[in-house]
Amino acid sequence: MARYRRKDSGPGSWLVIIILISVFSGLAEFVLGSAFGLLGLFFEVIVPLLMFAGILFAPLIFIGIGIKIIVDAIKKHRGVSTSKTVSSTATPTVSHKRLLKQINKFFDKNQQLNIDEETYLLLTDRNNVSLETIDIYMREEYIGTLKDYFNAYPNSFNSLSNLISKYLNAKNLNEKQVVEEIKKEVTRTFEKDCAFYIKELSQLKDGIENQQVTKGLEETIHHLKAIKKIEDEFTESKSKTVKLYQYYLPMLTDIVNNYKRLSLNVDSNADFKNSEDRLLKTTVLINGALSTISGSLVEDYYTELNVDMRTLESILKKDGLVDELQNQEG
Amino acid sequence: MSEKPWSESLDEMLAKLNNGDFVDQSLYEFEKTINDSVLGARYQSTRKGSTYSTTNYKTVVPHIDRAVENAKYSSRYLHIVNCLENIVYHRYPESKKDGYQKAISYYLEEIKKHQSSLKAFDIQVSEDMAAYKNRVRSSNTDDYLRGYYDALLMVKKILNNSKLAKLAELANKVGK
Repeated sequence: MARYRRKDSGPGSWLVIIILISVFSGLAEFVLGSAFGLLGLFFEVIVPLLMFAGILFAPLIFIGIGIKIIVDAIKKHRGVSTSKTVSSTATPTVSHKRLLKQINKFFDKNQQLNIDEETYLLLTDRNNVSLETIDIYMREEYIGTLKDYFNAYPNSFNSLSNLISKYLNAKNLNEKQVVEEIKKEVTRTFEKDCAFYIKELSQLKDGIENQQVTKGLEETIHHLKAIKKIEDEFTESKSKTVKLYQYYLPMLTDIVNNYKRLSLNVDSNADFKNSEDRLLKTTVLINGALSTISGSLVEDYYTELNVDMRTLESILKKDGLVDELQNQEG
Repeated sequence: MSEKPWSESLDEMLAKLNNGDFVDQSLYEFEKTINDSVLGARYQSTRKGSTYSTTNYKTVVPHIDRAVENAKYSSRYLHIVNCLENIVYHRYPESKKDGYQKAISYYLEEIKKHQSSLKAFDIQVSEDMAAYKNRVRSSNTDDYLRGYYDALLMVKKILNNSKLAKLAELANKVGK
């Protein structure tokens, strides 16, 4: 064991220790000196510069914030929505407010407001007249609120507002009188097919300046063309796309129409921005769904094709034709 | 949870969009949300290196018989009852099926009581959904409960679709 005992003392080892200490202390001095030098530079040059810039720009920033608060307050007072939210598309604009006022006045003396022979409106809360508290009834059945209608069909809602407003402005009308004779010949939405919406969206797309919107609509048209191709070849797949033509595409075209209508009216900038945001997001959503549908239709098409081929193969095998063909190929 | 069919997911997303749930999202973030949902697509590559896309779509939750779902109805009530009576349970886990069927038969009874007051029925379903959502969160392993909640989602979807069908009819009448 004595062989492995370390020699801890001796002139050589002391020398090594002294050299190491001097090397490391030199290094430490260099590092710390540089760090404190930089810190000094920061406090002596950069901080005063920042303070100077702050003193120079702070009044401008405060003035800017002040102007923004005042402009927002004025807009709010005038009834123009400044919030760029999707939900705010559902809040009444000035014309909606006027409409709600008229409806409120009407319900002071009446129980229901007839839209046509089978559709009417009912006010559910007299203390809070809003799109949410006005129910729509069709054939004596609750079908939703005006807000639901506005959310689903903003452009058609505008037409409905005009009809109601026209009726409410007219004098000497009875409680049960119909708002306006709506055309009897109704083209049902769900009778419109893929080709119809390709044409409709292609026409609507023209004249829209925002490239994001046109790009989104072009993608929709592209998906619809792919779906049409599958539907034409594989007619059974049509049963899977009924809901598209029933709800989703009418909804999208209505939103595009509303967007185009608002784009002509330069005064309603906030409404236009909201409508644009909603249109862009609805397009993304519908395109996602269309992509999924076309994918699943293709999968179904190939499954069907495989089944047909297997059936054919089994018939051929039964007749002994497969082996013959294979032999010929061989 | 089971994956949802595309129309259910689209209905849900549209409802959220209308409620302003995506207000704070930029278009880029919104696109990402959609791509991560059932409506998105996965990109995979073959051995040879070429890429192809597959959808996230899978029919595992019960669905309504397509002919029944796409039919035209004169009233919301008929639409709802017909859909509730024609649910297809193909590939749905047996452990969840009991809860699902129990809920469907309960709401079938309820709607028959509420034929003249569909608004009250709408409100009841929304309240039940909120209550069961909390219960499902606190007990994630109870398949009966999860089946019951899946059924509630289906009832809500049917209610929403019946509403949309009638609103579409009105929009068609009113025109643009």
